[in-house]
Amino acid sequence: MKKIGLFICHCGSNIAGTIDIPEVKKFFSGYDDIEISDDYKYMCSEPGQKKLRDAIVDRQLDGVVVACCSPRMHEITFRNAAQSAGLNPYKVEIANIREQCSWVHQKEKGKATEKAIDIIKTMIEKVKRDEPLKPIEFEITKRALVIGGGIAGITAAVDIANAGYEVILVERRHSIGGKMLELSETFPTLDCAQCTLTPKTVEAGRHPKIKLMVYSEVEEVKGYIGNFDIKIRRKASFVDWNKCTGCGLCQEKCPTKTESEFDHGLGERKAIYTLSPQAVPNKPIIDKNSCRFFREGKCRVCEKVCPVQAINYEMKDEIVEEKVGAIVVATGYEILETDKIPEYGYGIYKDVIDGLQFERLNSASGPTAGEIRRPSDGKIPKEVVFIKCVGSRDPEKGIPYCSRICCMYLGKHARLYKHKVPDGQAYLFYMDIRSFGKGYEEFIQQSMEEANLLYIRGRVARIMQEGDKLVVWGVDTLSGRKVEIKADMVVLGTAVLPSKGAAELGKILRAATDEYGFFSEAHIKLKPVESMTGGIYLAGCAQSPKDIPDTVAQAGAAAAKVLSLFGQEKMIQEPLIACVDYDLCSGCGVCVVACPFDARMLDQEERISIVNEALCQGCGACVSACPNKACQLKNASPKTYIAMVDKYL
Amino acid sequence: MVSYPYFPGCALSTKAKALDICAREAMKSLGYDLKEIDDWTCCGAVFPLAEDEHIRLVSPARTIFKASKISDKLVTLCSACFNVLRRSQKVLKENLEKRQRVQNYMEEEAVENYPENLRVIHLIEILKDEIGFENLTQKIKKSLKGLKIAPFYDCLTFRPPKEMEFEDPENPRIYSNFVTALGGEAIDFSYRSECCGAHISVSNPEVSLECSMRILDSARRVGAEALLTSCPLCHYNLDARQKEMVEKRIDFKPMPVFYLTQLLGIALELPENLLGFEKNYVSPLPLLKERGLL
Amino acid sequence: MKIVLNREKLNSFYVQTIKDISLQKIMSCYQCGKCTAGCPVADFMDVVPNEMMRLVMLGEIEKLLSSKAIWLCTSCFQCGTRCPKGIEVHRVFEALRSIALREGKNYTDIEKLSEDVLDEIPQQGIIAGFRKFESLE
Repeated sequence: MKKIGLFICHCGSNIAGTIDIPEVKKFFSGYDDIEISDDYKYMCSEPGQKKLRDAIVDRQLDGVVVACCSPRMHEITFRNAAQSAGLNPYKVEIANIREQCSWVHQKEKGKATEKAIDIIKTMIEKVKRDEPLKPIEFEITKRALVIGGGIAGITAAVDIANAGYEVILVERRHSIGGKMLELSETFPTLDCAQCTLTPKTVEAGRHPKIKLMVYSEVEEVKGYIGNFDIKIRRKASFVDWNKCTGCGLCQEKCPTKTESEFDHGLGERKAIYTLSPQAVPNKPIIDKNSCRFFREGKCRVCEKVCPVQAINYEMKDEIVEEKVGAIVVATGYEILETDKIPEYGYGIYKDVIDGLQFERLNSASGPTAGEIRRPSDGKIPKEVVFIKCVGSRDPEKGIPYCSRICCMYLGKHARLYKHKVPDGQAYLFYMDIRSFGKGYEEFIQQSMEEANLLYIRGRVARIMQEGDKLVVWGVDTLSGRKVEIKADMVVLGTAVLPSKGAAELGKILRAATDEYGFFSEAHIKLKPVESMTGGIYLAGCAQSPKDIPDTVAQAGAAAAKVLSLFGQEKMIQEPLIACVDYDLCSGCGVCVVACPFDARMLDQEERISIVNEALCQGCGACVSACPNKACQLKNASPKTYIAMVDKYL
Repeated sequence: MVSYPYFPGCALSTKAKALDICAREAMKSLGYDLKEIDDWTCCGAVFPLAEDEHIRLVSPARTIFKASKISDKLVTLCSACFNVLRRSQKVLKENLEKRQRVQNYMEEEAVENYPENLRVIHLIEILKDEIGFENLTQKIKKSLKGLKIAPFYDCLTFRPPKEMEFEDPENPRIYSNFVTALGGEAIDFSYRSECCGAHISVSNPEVSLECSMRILDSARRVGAEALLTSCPLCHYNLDARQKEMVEKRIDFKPMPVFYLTQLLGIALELPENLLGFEKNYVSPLPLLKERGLL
Repeated sequence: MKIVLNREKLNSFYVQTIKDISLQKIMSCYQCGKCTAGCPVADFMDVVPNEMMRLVMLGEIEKLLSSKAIWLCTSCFQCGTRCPKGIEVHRVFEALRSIALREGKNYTDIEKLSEDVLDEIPQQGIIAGFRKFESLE
């Protein structure tokens, strides 16, 4: 004879409006094993929880069923309440009579009451069979891996390192700073991007707790929250950075020039090069694809001029293994490829450029030393058209979402253009002006007023090259008129896409990405920096397009999440996971294949399957796959479920 | 007896005499002597909106200067005069470059001492700020009890608010409070601060007729028996043109439109011949007689 | 009819004159339309106030000078009073009227007015209506 307490919640009128609660309560008074059948308007409220706690103590209950909303909402609330009254929390079950009953049967009140009784009956059977369980504890490796060395990754790394934990900062390119280092000036304050960023890159570069791994990529991730095993590929730079002093002589003397990625094709660099004058670390790499030695087998100029013999043409990629407890994904973004919008001549006409190219044109360290000169002939453009939503909000040809930064940066571009070319005219085609951030709307309005920018509401249909002009066909939907502009240069606010390889990295991390390749957050409102996988956090454009303030805020939040994990002595894990009846297990390995979390493996010696308790999420895939019924979920055995179903039938 | 320089303006001297006569007589009985400025000239009729039209400020500047020799206040009543004089004084006070240009057309004395401190005021401001509406209630001889008056807030007295510095044109109260002070029932109506059509009665009479009709209909819908205005042009559009409204719409019911001073005159029991009702197209006499107010 | 935009057009003599005599920051208009929404005569206009602002921004002045709308404006100042950007739209209307008048374009024909109207309407109305006539300077 068990002593089970039943507590029925009204949930205001959410449940009580449909289900006849006095009737349910009466039904279970004196029911087998039910010691008390009670109800309350809001069981989750403090007085409601007190009812439950008092009953556990006064009536010496050995099990509790709360008939209320979904266990996703308040299972944890009632388990904690039971625990504080001395009852094992896993002896508390939720009978969901809201989502699965009152909400869906509002028009059939009588039947809903009957169904609520059935649901409660089955849960009583479950509670009767529940074992008291204890949460599982694990050690935590208190080191973090940050993937991506842009402003998001740098911020997260520095924040974690400043709290005293070691951080490995992995960056694909050979210096950190990311896209922000390519920008000229930033909205809404128009301060120089490098000036704002370089103190951060320098700090990250020389922080004793940060291990910088540039020109490196994460290749393999095993393990789970608190205990990840990472393999990182350090790509061959062909320069021994331990010897290299960053004197720059090799770059100066290198005879081979090629297009500069940093200048987005508008400038040139050498085959041995650093990304920018402010590169951190200030060490060059040899680009195998353009290096004359690698292509033709002769040259070796860099080797000859290097005063410290740092050049090593024999260098090979290297795999570095690391152990970490948490991972921050800060892989940033790319912009839409040039071939996507042929009607604008992007990638065809030289003077149709994208927003990042304009950043380089406007940058003092850029190919024109900051003068606004168009790529085709170096002339100063007097009529410049800026086009927003190029590929964004365009489900047919591009992506359906809003790229969030273009409204602001094109407004900024146009304003900077007017600063440098006061007699020029800037035209901005837009669909909406989304200036939601602090100081943003004021910035846009000030630009309109002071820089006389002409904002034109409408999309551009096409651009044609006629002589040295770009004829832009647009519309002003405000006046309902088609407009035509003979422009000298066109700047496109192209769509923001996830960084190349983000989806592949997602697979390596076992962290979900969405249909576009952005990393998915665990909850869009309440868990915006957590990925769907424990121990992996998101920062910046890896999750969705973001401006710098939002990126930095999210990076700080991701760091805080890592720190709250590292602040715990041990990892606590729910014990409702799979277990194996070794007498029945034949070691066939079907469960290993079925497990989506890599939590199952075979003990080759014993010829049985075992469960990695840290990785198991209790999904039950192995239970259904096991041919011998050896796999079971704790407190959810087939016997229990059969008893529950029996009661219902 | 307090004495203030008074600028009646052309309309009040001719077509809107009713507004003027009762004003002088009523104010006299309240202890105010409105002293007409000698040799006054046109107020300018329209405040110059074009930045380069300085010459239109000369006439108001002269009037302001004349008034300043008598007092630091200049009383007006016609909305157009009030609008032009008040805005001109503001711009001449604040914009020294403009003042300089205007003074080129004025006598020497005015150039040396521009009357920066002179305030152009509307007659209702004496009633509200100097006498006070509460005291006014004590002073009236006959309450307008039961008379449902819809106060109409003309454009020129209230707008543009930054220049007129009068009362918020989006929720004006002053005429309602005035009607209440006289014992009448003030009826707020939706169109109380919409434009009557103003001067486009000259060029597009059909458009302004539409504007005025909307106002009268709106007042009628909430039970008004009469309208109140202090603007001669609104009075023309809202009263005289009811002749055309009756012709245009068979169900249109005429409604008397009072000048604010006519109402004040009734409450102070001025003799009927000073109330100027013969100038009203829709005679208020039947309504007033029915209520025993005349 | 399409609009061809260029620097010359956006900074034409007309546009500059409108800016000079209205003193308004034309380019700060963000086309919310509140001016039109509250205009008492917008129903009767061929170019409504916000559209007028837009065409000035685009340098399309000729169309405005020949519009009926600039003469229908009653100068009630509702538009300017309510503009969230503080643009005195009524002054832009006045600037357009001033340009038209200075070019000798009249709207009101004094010959066609009835004696009755002239007898009854207060002087301010006549002057406001005919200011457009006498401004042939």
